[in-house]
Amino acid sequence: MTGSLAAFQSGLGRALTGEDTCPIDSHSAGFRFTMKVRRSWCEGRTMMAARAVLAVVPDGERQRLVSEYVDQGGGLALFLAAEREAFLAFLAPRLPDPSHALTICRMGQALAQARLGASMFVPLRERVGGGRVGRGRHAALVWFHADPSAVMMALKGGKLPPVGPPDHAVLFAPGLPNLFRTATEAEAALWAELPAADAPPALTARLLMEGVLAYPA
Amino acid sequence: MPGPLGIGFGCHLTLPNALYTPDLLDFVEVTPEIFHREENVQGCIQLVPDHKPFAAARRRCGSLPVTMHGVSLSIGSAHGMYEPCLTMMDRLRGEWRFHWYSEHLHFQTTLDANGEATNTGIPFPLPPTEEAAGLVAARAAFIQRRYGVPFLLENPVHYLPDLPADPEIGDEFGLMGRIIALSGCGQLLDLHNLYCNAINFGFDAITALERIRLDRVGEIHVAGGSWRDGFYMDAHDGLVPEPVWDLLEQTLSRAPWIPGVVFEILDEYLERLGPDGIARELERARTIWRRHHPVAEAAA
Repeated sequence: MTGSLAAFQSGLGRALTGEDTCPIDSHSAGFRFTMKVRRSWCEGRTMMAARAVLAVVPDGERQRLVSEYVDQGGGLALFLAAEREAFLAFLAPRLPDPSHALTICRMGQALAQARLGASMFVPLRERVGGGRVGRGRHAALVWFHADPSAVMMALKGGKLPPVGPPDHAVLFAPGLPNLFRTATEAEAALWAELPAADAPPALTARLLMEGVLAYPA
Repeated sequence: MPGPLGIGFGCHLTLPNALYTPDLLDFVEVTPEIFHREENVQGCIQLVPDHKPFAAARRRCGSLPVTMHGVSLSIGSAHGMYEPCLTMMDRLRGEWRFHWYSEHLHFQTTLDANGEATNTGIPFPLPPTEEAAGLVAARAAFIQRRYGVPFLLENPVHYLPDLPADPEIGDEFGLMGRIIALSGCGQLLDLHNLYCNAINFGFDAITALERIRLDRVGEIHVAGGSWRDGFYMDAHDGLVPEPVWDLLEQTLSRAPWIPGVVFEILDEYLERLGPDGIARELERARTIWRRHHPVAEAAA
């Protein structure tokens, strides 16, 4: 073989991104078929990584978004969680606002963050004398535009409820059982004001324990 | 090679427990990456268990023997293997006994123009060259020493014609044989991959068995596939085709000592066969296995 293994692999890898460096016949039926299979793997990985949000995006739009993502180099991650994170970040600014799809996208991002934080989570106790509190590093609040359970049912094949005002707030944090729960009105109001120096202790004690709140470093 | 285990199947969490009983299965083949996620731990990428699925996989395997079948090591990447896989296996070695560890003979990461490792998106075969054989053999020997269990390399499926080759290695069979000779590792003989390559490249799979070191085969895979654009694909999407059952018959008649046979199917196609259909494929594998394993048959 002429040239090293490293050169062969690098040339092939760069050819996959469109450079004219392919060390084998790129016009052969086998190479073209390999590219087709690769494309379908990238699209399939993307679909699998974000099944929930894509389930509520109309068919044509779903295919267009996945194609655009793969065209930009997406769909290559070895692990689904990494693919999901990248694809949801790509999707968020492209989904209609408000929409259930955007809510589910944000929920996916919030869950991933909460899950990430859960492996090293240590509940915080309230400091004597209180003090300034902010949002937990792995916490989020997501507004739903319909009853969250109705939106979730739609993911299992039910009909999506109409998009209404953002009346339902759900908290995501590493210290919550199952990583999420419904937020009370007071909690949602506090979340909007964070960071806050004068949060009511009755509210903050629980939220600190759950990882929703944190003391600024 | 390790002692016989029998008939194995992947660790599919959505299937009923009834499939994972010693009546139907002798061992479970676990793909550990499915139950792990990449995490940046103090600036270092690690594969950490996804706690719920990982615990579910442990429960699913129960007391059945386990083998590990990795998919992310990229043992043939010239710039280096995917090291987080090795640290994941280090940890698993301490907490979950496995009889052997297998991986794929291919590469799926390369260096880009900036020298950064990048995923290819699909596994690619190695060119059959001395350099490739030497690189993989050294790594395979290192892995086998590191875990103290047999390390098996799976023959790949691919669709690329005219890979650059060294004449003394020649083709995929020469490459695998050279790696085995240099490293002391074994082969996971994927009969469906062999069947696909035989169809797509126009050689006879039964004849090709003569070029495989059956004395070094530690496991066999059988699976289903499908046609697309004139190519026969290793899709793992259904029933094992008759010619692959014939290949299993031929292989085990020549090498009845091979320790295990695994039926492979992807999660997304489980419903297509259903638990009963899967059980029938496992039963058929067991029938062939028993025909060539008098000891196993007597014990049963």
